[in-house]
Amino acid sequence: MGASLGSRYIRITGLCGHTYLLFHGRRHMNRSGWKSFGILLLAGTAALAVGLLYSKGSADSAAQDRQPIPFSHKFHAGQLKLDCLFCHRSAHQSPTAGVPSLKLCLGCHQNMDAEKAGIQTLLAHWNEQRPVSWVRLQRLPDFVYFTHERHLAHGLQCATCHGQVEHMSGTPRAATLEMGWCLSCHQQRGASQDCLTCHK
Amino acid sequence: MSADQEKTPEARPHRWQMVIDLDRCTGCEACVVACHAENNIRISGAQEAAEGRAINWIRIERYWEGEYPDVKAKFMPVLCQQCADAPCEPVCPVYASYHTPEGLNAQVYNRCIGVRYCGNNCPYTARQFNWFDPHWDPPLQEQLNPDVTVRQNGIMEKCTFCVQRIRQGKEQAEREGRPVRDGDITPACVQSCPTTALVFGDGNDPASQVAQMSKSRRGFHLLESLGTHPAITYLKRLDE
Repeated sequence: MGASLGSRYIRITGLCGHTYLLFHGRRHMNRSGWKSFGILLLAGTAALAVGLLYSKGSADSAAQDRQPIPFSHKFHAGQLKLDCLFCHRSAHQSPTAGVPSLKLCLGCHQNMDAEKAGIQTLLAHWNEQRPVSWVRLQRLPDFVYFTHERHLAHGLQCATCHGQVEHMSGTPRAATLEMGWCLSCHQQRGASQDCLTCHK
Repeated sequence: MSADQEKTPEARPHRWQMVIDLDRCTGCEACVVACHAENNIRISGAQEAAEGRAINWIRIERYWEGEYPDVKAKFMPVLCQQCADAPCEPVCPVYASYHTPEGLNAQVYNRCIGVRYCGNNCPYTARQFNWFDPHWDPPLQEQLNPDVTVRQNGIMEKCTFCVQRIRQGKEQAEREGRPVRDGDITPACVQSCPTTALVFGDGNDPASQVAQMSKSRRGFHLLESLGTHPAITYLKRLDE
């Protein structure tokens, strides 16, 4: 293996007789050089963005809570001190916690805060008998079996996984909801760690 | 009686087993249909079936015996034998196929990378590979079971003894504060069998129907010489 100096290149002859040329010198980059530099920079930025999202947990955890009606957990659960299960009624009897029906909202809002814009939208939905398309923020993959009912029956609090929603105006995902996060709790509490307990 | 069978119902681990009475099987394939409906098994069609790429977690093997006109058709339902020493398990490079504490040969679909070694190593050809994306002829896509994953192209799938029903039965027992009773849990194939040729239960419960029946003198295991120790016991036909 030998190396010889050219004008702008270092020529390296490899063991197998191949010749490698390494760019050497202070010559300015030509147009194609800038082009490839730009492409590399773009690809790098994209990779960085994806990586950052991934490191924050699932890609959608950073998603803003943009609901069709500006609902606030901070107000309902914080100031009014409503119990989570008052609205999310199926949490203690079924796998899904459920979103309250319009009827439940109307139970209070029929005669309350009707002048507010959000409540007017709510009442419009009720009058037209059209459900509100709430944006779902907490979602598990299709291959995961999870049941709220069993977790509540074993004494877990809603806030353990969903965070202190009474202090949040929106409802961002409080935990990653990833497998490592599930397992850390299952390990601590001596719950089943068999794959088929949660994978279906 | 095994050591597990002597324990109290609360302390005893489950060991899911099945008994298939060949004398009762009429080959009606109700179990096959029920399995397809319960477990979101995709519809393959004639072309894929001819290419050997159809998927069935349970199949009815048909054997003709005798010479025309004195011929008899003999049927044998074959599904994953949930072996205690399963050849499919140690060969998986990513631990997607593994043995659950309750004796099931499980397949974790989201872990599977589709090397197909497990399927090739299974002497019962009970594992099948998804060569295509799943599809159902309308309106069958409307009846998918939400408790079972829809398997994607490129992964291996197999019978689970309807683990979603086992989970449900155990949860119901826990809710009611009692051990799982014999007959609480029935996989789809067992439930649909019109002649009750298939019996499912906890082999560690000495009083269970499956534990009693598997002790029958008619009992045998499929390819017993391989030493896979299946959880399924077949009962020989009476006319043999």
